[in-house]
Amino acid sequence: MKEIIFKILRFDPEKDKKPYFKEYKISVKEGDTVLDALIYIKENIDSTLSIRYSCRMGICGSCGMIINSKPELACHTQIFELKSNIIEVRPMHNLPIIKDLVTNLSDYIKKHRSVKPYIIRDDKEEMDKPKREYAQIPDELLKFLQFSYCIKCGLCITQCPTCSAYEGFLGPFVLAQAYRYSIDSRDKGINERIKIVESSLPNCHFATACSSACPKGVDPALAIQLLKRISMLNSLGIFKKKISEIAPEPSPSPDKDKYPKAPPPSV
Amino acid sequence: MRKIVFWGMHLLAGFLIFFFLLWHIFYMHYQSLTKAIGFGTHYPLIFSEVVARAKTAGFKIAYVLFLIFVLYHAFYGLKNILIETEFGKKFEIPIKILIILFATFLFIYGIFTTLKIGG
Repeated sequence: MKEIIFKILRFDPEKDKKPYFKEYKISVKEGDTVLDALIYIKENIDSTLSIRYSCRMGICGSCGMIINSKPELACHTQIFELKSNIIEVRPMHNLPIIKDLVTNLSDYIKKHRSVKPYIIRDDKEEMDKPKREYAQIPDELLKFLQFSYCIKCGLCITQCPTCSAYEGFLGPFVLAQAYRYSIDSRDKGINERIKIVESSLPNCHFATACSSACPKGVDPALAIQLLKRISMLNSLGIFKKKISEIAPEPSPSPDKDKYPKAPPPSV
Repeated sequence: MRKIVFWGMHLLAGFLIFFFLLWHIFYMHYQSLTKAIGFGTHYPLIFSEVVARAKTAGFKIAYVLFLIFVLYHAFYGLKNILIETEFGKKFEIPIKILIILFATFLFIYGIFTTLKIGG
């Protein structure tokens, strides 16, 4: 067990004129995360502290915050790994504060929705009542796989110098998702998406702070540069992408009758 | 034209400025190398020779192209920086108009100077 001082930036827009730090001294043990400590503070010391969390395992992206000046997921940051007796916790930068450590991501969620982050096809009947999956080879999957790990936690926005200065910029994770779907061989919506993102693309100055901040190892800066390239090629009419078709119907195995039957369900 | 194409031209202009710099260094300062491949001048020029060379069509075309690439690269970049600021957000269209006007003025002035080299 070790005594740690948590300096937490508190701000209630309804009561406070400006944010202020409040200190909490608690005992922590090895393996405790910053989120564990914040939950302990809320449950045992100060119930007015506002935090947002859900999965507690680095999947939902709810608990993004600035811990000792670095953008981190609170559930993914072990206190002992910070090697400091004083831990400073702030809400994410570049986002309006709802209360204390809870920031408002709704603007970026709207921007995310605006880039149509889903597969767009013209075969509507197949989309509504699919017969089989669209065939995709591993190489086509690898083109977008890493970008599909994005959990939309907003830590990339926090670090992005353009987001801090220019409201019109769509933001790293939004553009990365636009690329993720545009390069997907099953998608036919690249023209629609590029019309939406192209005015934002030149505003990325490739600081790569977004990629350094990402807790899931996604590289949004790379996605934006690749999106710039495919946008330009597409605008010049020389972008080519192989579109996946519906996978052929699998032929029945000739040896099917030789296999033993599955046991009856036990439940 | 699509906005992303203007950005592509910005990159291309940057690359061409760098190309012109390399060409300048090669042509003006590596005279032993240009002599070896039988190209360019192989001795320091006197002023009247420099002026005479600047009057040739090839040099005038190169100066005009260089002027276009530099002005486009500089002012497109400046526009992008300015419209990201608080001030730029409020006055985006006036800033674009002013930049186009100023770049056009410099272009005309540059063309005039290039054509007038050597009298």
